[in-house]
Amino acid sequence: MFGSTDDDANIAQAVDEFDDFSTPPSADLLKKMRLDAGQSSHPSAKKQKTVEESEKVSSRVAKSKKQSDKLSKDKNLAGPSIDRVSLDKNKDVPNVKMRDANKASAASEEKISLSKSDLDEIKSYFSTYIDMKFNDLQNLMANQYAGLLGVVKEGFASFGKVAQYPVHESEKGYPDIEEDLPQYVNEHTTDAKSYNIVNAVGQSSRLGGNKGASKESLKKSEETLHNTYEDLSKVIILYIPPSRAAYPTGITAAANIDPFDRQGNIDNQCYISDNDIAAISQVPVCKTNLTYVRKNPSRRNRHPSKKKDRTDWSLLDAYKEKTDQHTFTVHIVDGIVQQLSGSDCGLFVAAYTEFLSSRHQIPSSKFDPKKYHTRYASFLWDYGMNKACTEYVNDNQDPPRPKRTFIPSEDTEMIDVEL
Amino acid sequence: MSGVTQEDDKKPADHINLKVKSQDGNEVFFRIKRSTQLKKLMNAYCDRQSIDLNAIAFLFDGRRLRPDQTPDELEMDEGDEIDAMLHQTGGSLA
Repeated sequence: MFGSTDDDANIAQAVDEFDDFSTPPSADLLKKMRLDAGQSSHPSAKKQKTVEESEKVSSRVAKSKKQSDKLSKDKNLAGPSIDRVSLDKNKDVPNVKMRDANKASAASEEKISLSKSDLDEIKSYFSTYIDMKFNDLQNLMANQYAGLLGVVKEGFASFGKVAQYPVHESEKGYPDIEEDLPQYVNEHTTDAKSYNIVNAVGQSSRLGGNKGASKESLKKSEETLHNTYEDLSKVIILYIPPSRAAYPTGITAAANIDPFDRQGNIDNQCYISDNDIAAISQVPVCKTNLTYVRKNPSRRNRHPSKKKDRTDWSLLDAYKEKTDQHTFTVHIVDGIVQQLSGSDCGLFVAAYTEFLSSRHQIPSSKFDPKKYHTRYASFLWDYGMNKACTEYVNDNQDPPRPKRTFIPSEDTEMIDVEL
Repeated sequence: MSGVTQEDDKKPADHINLKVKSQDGNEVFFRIKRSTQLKKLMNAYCDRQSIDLNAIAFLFDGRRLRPDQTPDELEMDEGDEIDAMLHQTGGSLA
């Protein structure tokens, strides 16, 4: 724009000279180009100035190029040789540095070569140790996967603040649910420690030359791994279903009543399989509480219903005709956890059936519905997976039952139905 | 023992011995024709135990038996076990 016609002509010449890209541009030109490229990002208001500058620069470059060409013609290869020297110098700098570094690390290379066998040992030790720990973890997860699933789900729920299960008001009152929060902290710390382990392992493998350092890192990683293992086991242990001793002894009424001692055989084993639980839980009509049916009238005092929303069992179809003819007695156990009126009692029925079947005390306040939801969901999931693995969908496609050997004893009383 | 096996040998092949096990673990053995409806067995068991038939659910391999079913229909084998369970309410929305 403002440039003279001479400059334009010079630019044209310079462009002509640059048609052949095999010739390397001068270092000054490259520097200027970099500058121009850097300035290209400036606001548009300065664009005109930069264009002028670039034009000026290119004209200067073209002039200097002409001069250098002339010099090279006079002195034979003076220009390119200068470039080469400068390039070589540039190349030499890192080489020298590398050499220095090589010299400096020559001694350590010897140490590295000496400790390579140790490194291999350390690596193999690490791999076996970590494999072992992972196997332990896998076993733990396989054994306690229901609890772990609960931990993970609740962890996700606490992160996303999204309730996995609809919490009834009756469930909100249980302190156990809130008390689980510290376990999430443990979980996060285990994650952090596992990252530390990875870093420690990486460092130890990188710093293989320093044997002491690697051993220290090995020890540290061992400790962190051990801590991780302990923390994880703590998390899992906290979710182990409570043992019989862990149950509160406050609910002696529920514990004392054995719904299956119809014939007074208290010592006989209860017989409720999982299928039976499912079958029992499918029996319709339920309002509030688990009811225990007995053949004979109980000697124990019957607990009168105190709550207004209790089931009037005498009105139920299943018991209408039995009140007079048969002396079935319904025991209503007070103090056990139950669902609110209008919600599903299936979980409680299944859980209490399981407790009674295994002759455990029914917990009163320490019953965690979320945990049992997760547990039964995992059982169902496992059942479905096993079904899918054995490639049958319907229960009628069950594999054939094992043959039973029937050897009646001498005192076995055989009743002939046909007679 | 041996007497029983001899008796078994004498029995016609269309008979089958079934075991009914209650929740308290008591076992009662029944001999029934393969083609006979299980209603007979159920009635016999309930009469013997003084229980109403409607108060008991008979389960075979976890599935509820209907009175009109027969051992042949269910492919029952010698010595198979039937579970006699009391009705239990619960498990549905109130």
